[in-house]
Amino acid sequence: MPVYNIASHSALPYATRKRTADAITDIHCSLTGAPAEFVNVIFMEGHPIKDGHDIGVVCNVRSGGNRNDELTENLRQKIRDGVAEATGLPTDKVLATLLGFPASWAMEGGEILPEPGEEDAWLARK
Amino acid sequence: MRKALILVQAEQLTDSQIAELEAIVRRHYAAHVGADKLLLLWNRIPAGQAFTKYEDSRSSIVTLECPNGFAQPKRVALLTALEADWRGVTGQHPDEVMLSLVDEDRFQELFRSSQQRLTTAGRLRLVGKMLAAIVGARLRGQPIVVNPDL
Repeated sequence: MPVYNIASHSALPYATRKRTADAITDIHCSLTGAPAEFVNVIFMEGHPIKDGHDIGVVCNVRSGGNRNDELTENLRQKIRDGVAEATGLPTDKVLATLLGFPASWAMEGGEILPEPGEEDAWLARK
Repeated sequence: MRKALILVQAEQLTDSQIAELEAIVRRHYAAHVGADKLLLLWNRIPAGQAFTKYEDSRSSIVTLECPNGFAQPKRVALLTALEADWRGVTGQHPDEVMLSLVDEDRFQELFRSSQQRLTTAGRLRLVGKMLAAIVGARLRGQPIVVNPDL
């Protein structure tokens, strides 16, 4: 976690998908401090997005810890902008939704995920 | 009926491995969560459509639904047991398996959000594809496995 699920009507070339995934990983890690190994980005094609958008991003992220509503909304906007830039689309063609749930509901690397902001100790344990 | 959404990489797991993993998920779910019916939806992501840590992904992502307010010790017990048995079948590195057991309200929000971003026609196509996959899988007596592209 996070898992960024990106749906688009048109198929994106591999290079665009890679560039977009890299941008999302950069933005997510720089803004939240989360390690890159947590960041998953998945693309799905043939999905017509509502209200004239070309791409719809849905992401589940860890909530709590050092993340408040302001940071989460900032992340949502930065992800929307980053996806737009990486795909060459206007920002208003990208729909982005973030959903938070507690880190303690998820396991990765055989361990329950750390609270946001407590990743260093978690990673050192591995 | 509870749901489980499972994302795996194409050509990473065989059909027999998926069938074995489905049985494992059902067994642990029944033991740790309860006797609720569980609908497992397997999404096989085509090659080049998933990335983890800047690279083509080799990860499996399992999201299970549970009742609201589910006790954390039980949650950890399920995830721990499932993670060990999952990797016993797939041989994946621990970092390549992400599991979550999500309270039903939040799970439904997550499940619906993938449909709500679509046009009405898109939603109908998605639901139609899922129903066809469910019926086909039931007839064949196999897990419900779909390519998430429409």
